[in-house]
Amino acid sequence: MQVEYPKPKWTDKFLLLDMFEGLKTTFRELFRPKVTIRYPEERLEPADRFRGMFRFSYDRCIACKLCALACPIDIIYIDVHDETIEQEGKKKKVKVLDRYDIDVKRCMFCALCEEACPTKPKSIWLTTKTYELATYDRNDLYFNMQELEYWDDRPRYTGLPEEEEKPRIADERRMLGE
Amino acid sequence: MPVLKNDSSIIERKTGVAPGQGPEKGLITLPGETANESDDLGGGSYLTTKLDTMVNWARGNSLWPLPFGTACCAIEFMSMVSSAYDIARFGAEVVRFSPRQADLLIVAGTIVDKLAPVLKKIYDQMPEPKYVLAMGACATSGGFYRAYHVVQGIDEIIPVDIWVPGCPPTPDGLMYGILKLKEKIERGEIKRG
Repeated sequence: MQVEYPKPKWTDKFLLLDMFEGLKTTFRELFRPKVTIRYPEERLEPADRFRGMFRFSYDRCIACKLCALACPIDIIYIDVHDETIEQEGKKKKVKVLDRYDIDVKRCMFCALCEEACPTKPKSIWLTTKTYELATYDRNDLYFNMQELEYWDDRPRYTGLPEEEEKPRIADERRMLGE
Repeated sequence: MPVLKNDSSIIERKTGVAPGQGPEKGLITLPGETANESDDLGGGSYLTTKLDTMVNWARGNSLWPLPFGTACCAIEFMSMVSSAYDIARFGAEVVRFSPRQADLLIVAGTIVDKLAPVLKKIYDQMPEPKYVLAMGACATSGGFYRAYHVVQGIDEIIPVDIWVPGCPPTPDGLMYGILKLKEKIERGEIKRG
């Protein structure tokens, strides 16, 4: 198909009206709200289904090892031994967790372990909305049981002012420029 | 060091130290660094230490990244560079695809054994000072490719300054990694080459 473009007039050679046609978009965007999220000062609130860093609860865990079975890359390491405990005059046999380690550096955050967990509420979950996991040493990404339970207490990135410890914005539409 | 206890559980809890209570992992302090600092303040090397600080500040604020993107992590890198997150606020927006013009190598994606010599060659072609960021599970540890054909962590071939796990990490997570690397450079901890 032959496309016929409009023939340029002789005034277009020095009036440059086409340029201002294009610059109209530029000037219009100048007065719209900015889409940039200034990350360390403010950050986007992840969705509720966002899969971030693990959190583990020792008290909820029944040591059934289902999460380790569900893991597609076998990065959950669990050691269990049996113990007999006397409680209210009865002898009770319980499983005691010796080791619950997750090799987070290999993890792909598929949350299959969270799906497999039979306890209610879940004793391992990924909906912590945390993604700041960068480290200087690769071995820091191997989390043991205590670290999985209490990693939230570790010191954070120190570039932030004190009062803005956890700045979060929930306005996702700003990114779309609406 | 405080001991973690929970009285509501019937099982006796193994004692441990919460992260953050113990000594912080991953911080690199060169031997004799703090001692030198106090000595230099009165001595003649005051000017040179100040110059070092200034040079480190300049290096940290003008990282020129080279994206070695072989997989989906590179898509998140694009998101970080473009306007929604805009790494230009930290002076790292000049993405160079020639190793001779870059000083931050962002390894984003799976490095298979056949690609490993290419990565090594690109690292060797970068001028000093050079920094390496391993992005994503594959570059960090091989990820779920526990197989014969994938490099299990790129520190088998090149030195790495910062590790960003995640599959892939969010743009925020990657930006956090770059900010941490910037901190490390400004502290002057990277002394290589």
